[in-house]
Amino acid sequence: MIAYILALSVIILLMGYLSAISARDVVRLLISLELMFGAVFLSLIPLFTTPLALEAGGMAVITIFTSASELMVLIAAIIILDRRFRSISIDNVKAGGDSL
Amino acid sequence: MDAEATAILIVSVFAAISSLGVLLARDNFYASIYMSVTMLLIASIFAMLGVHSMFVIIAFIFVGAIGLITVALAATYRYLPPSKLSNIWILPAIITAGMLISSVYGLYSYIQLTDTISQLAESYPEIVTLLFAMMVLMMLSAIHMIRREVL
Repeated sequence: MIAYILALSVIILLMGYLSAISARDVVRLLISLELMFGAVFLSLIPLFTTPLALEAGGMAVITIFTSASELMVLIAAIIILDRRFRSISIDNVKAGGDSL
Repeated sequence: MDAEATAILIVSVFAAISSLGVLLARDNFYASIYMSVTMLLIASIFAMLGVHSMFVIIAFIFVGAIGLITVALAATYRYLPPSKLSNIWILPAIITAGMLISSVYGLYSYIQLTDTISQLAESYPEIVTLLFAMMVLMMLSAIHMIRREVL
């Protein structure tokens, strides 16, 4: 059973990775990241089969809230990107930050 | 295989199919819908295994809040780019996925064996093949990013 769940986690992680690599806009990147976080949640399931299930629950809650915070930061970045460039194309995201 | 394992297997298949929908959907809105369905199926796997607290957190916080904002964003920016998935990615991606899945099954079978060292030594070429396929994927990613930066 654990092997099935881990295999599903690997499949979903691979789909998210391929989708993120082929993304042309940052909204698709956000969707791919959420998919990859879902794969991470699936990989936490074997922790609940150990006697330390309570600690596993705490670890899972920390993981979910941390990933949700990261995604909220990315959503805010998308809104700022749209305000600044009037576009969400990934080509607008360049290294270097603000021009002086 | 009992009824619970069969149900989890069926839900896993549907989750894999909907995650494939995220990759293949060209419209962001449908991709976000497929992503929400995948996350709900993942939460239902937790529920079927008896971890109801995780089901509530994933379904109500992750899908209910973050997923809903993502769907709203995707509905606002319905960007339809041309498909850029190159065919040269297919072979290393299939090799990597196959090796990772087979290694998960191999790890599951190693637990039941006593002589694990000899089993690992026998699978050494497979590990080399996996590392080579992953290296090809990373190099393709680097080439892809460099080309996009030049253009």
